[in-house]
Amino acid sequence: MRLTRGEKWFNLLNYVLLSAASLTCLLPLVNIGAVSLSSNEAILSGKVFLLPVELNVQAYSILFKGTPVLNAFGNSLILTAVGTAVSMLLTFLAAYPLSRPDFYNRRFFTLAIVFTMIFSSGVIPQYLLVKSLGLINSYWAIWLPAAISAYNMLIMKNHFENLPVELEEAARIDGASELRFIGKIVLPLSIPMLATLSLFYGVAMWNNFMSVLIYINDANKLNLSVLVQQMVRSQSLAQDFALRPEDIAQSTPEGVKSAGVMVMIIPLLLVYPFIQKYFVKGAMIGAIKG
Amino acid sequence: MQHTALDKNSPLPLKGSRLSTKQIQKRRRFKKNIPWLIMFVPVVAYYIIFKYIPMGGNIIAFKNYNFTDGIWGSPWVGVDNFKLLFTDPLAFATIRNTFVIAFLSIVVNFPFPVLLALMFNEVRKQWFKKTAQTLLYLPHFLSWVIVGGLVITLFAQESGTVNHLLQQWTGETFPFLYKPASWLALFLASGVWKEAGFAAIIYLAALGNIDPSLYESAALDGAGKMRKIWHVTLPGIRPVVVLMLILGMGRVMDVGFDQVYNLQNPIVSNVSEVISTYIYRMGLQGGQFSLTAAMGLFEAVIALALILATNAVARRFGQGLW
Amino acid sequence: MIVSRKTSSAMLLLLLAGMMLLGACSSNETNNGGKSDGQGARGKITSTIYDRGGVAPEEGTMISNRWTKWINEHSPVDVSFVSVPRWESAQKLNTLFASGTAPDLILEYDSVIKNQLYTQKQLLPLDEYIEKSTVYKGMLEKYPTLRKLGTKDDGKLYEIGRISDVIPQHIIYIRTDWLKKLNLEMPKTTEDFFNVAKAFSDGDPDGNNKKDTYGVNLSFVGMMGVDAMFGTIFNANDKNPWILDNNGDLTLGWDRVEAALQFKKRLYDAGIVDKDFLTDGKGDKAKLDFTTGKLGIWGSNGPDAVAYSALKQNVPDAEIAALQLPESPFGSFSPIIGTPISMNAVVNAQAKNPAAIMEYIDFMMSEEATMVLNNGIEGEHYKLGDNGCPAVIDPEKNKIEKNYSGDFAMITGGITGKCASYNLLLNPIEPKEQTVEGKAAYEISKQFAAAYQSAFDAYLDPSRPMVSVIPNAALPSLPQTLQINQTNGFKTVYDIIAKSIISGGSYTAQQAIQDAKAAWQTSNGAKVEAFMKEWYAQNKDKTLLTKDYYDFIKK
Repeated sequence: MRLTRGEKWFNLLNYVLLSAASLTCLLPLVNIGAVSLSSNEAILSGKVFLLPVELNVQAYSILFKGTPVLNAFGNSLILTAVGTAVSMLLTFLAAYPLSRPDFYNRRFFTLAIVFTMIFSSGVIPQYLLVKSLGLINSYWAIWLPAAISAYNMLIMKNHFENLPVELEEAARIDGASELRFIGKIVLPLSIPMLATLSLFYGVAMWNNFMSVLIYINDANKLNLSVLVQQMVRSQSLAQDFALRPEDIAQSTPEGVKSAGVMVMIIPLLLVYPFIQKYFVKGAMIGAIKG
Repeated sequence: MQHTALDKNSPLPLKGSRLSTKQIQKRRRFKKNIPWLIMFVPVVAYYIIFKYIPMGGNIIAFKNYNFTDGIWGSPWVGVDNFKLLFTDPLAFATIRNTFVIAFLSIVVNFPFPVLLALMFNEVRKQWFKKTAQTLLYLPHFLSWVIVGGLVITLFAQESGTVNHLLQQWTGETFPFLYKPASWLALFLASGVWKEAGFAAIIYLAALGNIDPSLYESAALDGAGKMRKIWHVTLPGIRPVVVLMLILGMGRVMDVGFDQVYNLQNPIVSNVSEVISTYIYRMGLQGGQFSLTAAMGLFEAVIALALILATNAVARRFGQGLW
Repeated sequence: MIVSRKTSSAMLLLLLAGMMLLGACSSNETNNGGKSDGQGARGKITSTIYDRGGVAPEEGTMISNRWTKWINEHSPVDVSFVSVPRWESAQKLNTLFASGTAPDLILEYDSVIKNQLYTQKQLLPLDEYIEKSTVYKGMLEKYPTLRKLGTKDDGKLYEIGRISDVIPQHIIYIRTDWLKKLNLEMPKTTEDFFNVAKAFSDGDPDGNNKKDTYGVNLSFVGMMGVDAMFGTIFNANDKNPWILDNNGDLTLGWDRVEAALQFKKRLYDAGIVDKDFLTDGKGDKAKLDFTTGKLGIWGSNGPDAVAYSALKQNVPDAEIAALQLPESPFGSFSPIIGTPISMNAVVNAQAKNPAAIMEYIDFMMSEEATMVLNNGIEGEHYKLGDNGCPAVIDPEKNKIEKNYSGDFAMITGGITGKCASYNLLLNPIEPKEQTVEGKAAYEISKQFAAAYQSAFDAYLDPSRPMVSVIPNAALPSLPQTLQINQTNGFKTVYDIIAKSIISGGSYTAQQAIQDAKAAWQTSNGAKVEAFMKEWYAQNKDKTLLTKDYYDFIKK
């Protein structure tokens, strides 16, 4: 395809801007990576920028041998995998009926759900509820209260509403059952959106901090997010805390903290390309025609 | 489009000869609804148990909550907590700042993810597209403590990289972090930097839904790049854009605590103190659960008004959420 | 579309029913910890323990490891632990207490959290149980202040604490090699101090022909040091400006705050300090400047031997000493000294078996538990050295097995005297094997010991009293509204002060203090002042004051 001059300039500008933006996002991570691989003295002397100084893997060895990072990693995986599945299922159960124009009281229900998005309950009533359901110390306390994000549900509902109406009409004429219609037409046509929402839920679960902190008392069940956050906090102690000599003595070295951040981020980087492949242009139309 | 379908099938009480047709329609509608209702039962149960029941806890905003008596036993104090809140001289400034920052965030932060998605859409080289997308998505996972440190490294008056360059070029430095306007600009920019790439994902996914044949026919009509974006791409993602805008309005009041907390300094506190930092200090300094619940309720009422208003506008263009 | 009335009323009913159900559930719940078996056998209690995420996988977890086993084997009661993430303890304890599931014994450093639990009536008075106590009762008799500090305003004893030696906490180090190089004396007055700091920033003390050094830091401890010279505490981290007037009444010392502000402005305007001190809340940047040899006078939190060795690595000729705070118009002071008594534990009012808790506390305060939880097991983690103090056998092994025991040691008796860690820092032990690195490291620790020793000489002299009348930890908890007023009022005042420091001539100290006083008054400052004055008059003999610190210093 031939490009006009204007289009060439447009493309060039586009590439330059995107490259510059990408670079600004890459550099901080490179710096964290470099810190995690440098000697403690080099870090303290402020010598580390983009390349490790006095390269060593001591921080990682402390992290893996001296902290429960592996266990926490496993817990994060379980939390994320099951949590995403539960969330996607429930979100679908809410979004699909609400997207049907004929569904009873759909405006009322939608509004009632939006309402919960705005008037949330405080931490303590939520805790009392989870406790009375006997879910303290169980991962269900993490999965269930956050199972449907009204935000994600509305995105899914909006997507279903914008599927071509002809599809449903055609399916009805064929006499397809609701389940068949969902399984054969709705879901295959929604793969990019489902992938995106799974990513949103998955990322939120992976990063989940507050509810794990509150509902989980068993140290064996804590996740990566809580562990890494404790390391970051012990390093960058908030000003409001009365610091004890004990706290200074037990603070996590900068290198180990950076290694923790790396362990937390890298899996999310590895997952993204798998989601990306669903964003190919025309994926949906292709599915219909194919 | 959906609304016309909706109106046709609404069980409006019509009188007269079309009663039998109406009944048939009603029965047909009921049959269609059966599988949906079955699907929806767990959802209703979920919302009642996990959202509406704990929501009752918000009554502590009207009580003097204490641990011993619990939510139900604590004494009622009427609107005392709200009075305390609005007589506190800091509270007024706090609420004003929240509005200003919230408004600016919507205006500034909202368009960037859309723009990014459009830019990505024009990239032909797949490897570049994938790499750039992954990199831009990265900052979402850095905590604000780390981003706050980066902002200082770059913009500090004496040691900041930007000021080093400024000094070489102009011989003078600029206190970016200590002027309200430049602080606000940095605040917004760091928000864009951290979240735009991640927020763009939703539009990238929506772009995948556009029929390529539309571009082909536009090309046949002799449309240039800009006109294709204007006439094909943008309308294609419009529903998602509107949806995100409405949802954004509902969230606008909760100016993220971590972001403000990690970027603020005492010099700019007259613009940076917002509701979430106020609640944090109150909570931390004395466990003022009732007071913070009152502030939370106030915030929610504003958010509700905003989201209802936005939705009403969107409905006029056939894009309403409900 | 109109919502059908039936549906909405049905929803409402369901909602109400659910709320009542929840109410019933939550009000019937009782504390589940600390079941007593009532047979006079071993008591069972529960206790919190900080979790910092630093327990090695092979050691188990913070709630089940060699030290929890050791405790359960040796203690007269069975203890099960609930972990509380160190940096979120307020959030975690609040939910535990609000839901009635908090453990019996709460180990917590932060006095704000403990005061709040007291105000919420969640704490158990311990007087009657202490009567039957053995070890802890003995400590209370030996140190009456321990009782004073544990007693709340209803006259009952709530908090359990421990004794430590009085040692310097904030240390202002000065580069003595720079003094020599520039032919300067140790500053004696604040004017001297200004001149020395000015010379440090302008006189090219690092000899690289660039103006790239700072005289002093105004972030974190540096700022607190400058405040302390003027006998006040009013900065980002601490706000404790209360002083005694001529009648011996507690009052807010505006004059000192103003003088300190004036001085900070001069330092700032003269380019002596890093202009970005306001964004360096924890002093990390200042520490970096110090360790890279760019900062002449540095306020350090604790001795910080690590920073010293980093400095020596970057600038091998560097020499430092602690700076005796120069005299100001208000007198001579010392920076903050480590508290001789730290209150580290309280008991849940819902605890089922308070007697067992007391037995446990007695056990933890005993010599045996104190030794083991602070130093490890003899022969395994330490052996007694020639000086009679425990010497670590294998530092690597201790890193994995012993280091995390520190949080269990919160309610053991403190290690005082010659074997306390500060004394080991003051008296480094010469390595037996004479390797090159070992010798170099010993040399550095010897030099550091000298610098650290100078802090003891400079700051523990009662003729230069520690700044502030009431130590931060002993400041009273205010009634709710006053608390809000004070928090917000002080914050506004500090913001005004900070703005004035960096605004040069356009915002003078006088003007700033005038504005600050006005802001303080709109925030009900007068009421807070009245409360503080009244409280001090009634409690000055009952609480720990900074002047009491000196009674604990062994002559």
